[in-house]
Amino acid sequence: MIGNDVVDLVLARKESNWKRKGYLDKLFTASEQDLIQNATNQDEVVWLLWSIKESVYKAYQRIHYQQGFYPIKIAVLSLNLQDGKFRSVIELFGNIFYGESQIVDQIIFTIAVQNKGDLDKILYFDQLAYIKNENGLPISADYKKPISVSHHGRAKKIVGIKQNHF
Amino acid sequence: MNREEIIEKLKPIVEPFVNDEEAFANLTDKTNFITDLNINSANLVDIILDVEDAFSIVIDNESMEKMTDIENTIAIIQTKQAEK
Repeated sequence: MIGNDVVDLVLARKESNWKRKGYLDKLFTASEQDLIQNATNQDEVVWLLWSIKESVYKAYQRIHYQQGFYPIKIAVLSLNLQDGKFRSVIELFGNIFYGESQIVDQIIFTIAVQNKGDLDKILYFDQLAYIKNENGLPISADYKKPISVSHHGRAKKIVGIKQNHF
Repeated sequence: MNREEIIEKLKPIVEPFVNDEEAFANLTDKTNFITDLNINSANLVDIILDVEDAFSIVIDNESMEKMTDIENTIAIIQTKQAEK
């Protein structure tokens, strides 16, 4: 299962003031707030963590459809920078997810999957015809495979997992 | 506060974050902040914080989870006000 999210940092700075009182407490666990406080670029870490949570939320909808606003329950357990990619491990309702994020030209791109090996099988689409399944989640029009779509500011990404016939 | 009073107070809080003006003009109890009004989910936190301030209530995480549409938001505000 896959979920993705993009954050255009230029737009995020205009749209949201994460420094406002109470903001971080609603979104981030204590250990995530520690990561933010200790970061040299706090702005980047706030939106990096946020994009990881959004990606996991989307991936989780494929396992168990549960709409709602529960960012604080999506816990980023670890976050490490390796070879230019931020790798994360995330927990939600007892499920473990693996995230991979990159920051290019002030845009954060994140993908989250449940099977770690799927991170090596990501398909990127510039254009893809897709429809919505019974829960309103996107699937490819041709093979009806789950895909994830994210759009923010200057960035738009459509991703899927490489499988037979896809 | 009754439903109408809450809606009147809620509208100006929500408005700055709306990305679908038509859906906002045709607001109903079933209107969803994310899927209908196209509000960025990171801005849902702003709405929640503004609601806390405007209605002098505290919205716990469990209630926040359900605060995705007008109907639930009204119910949460009424419940929290009754608890005071």
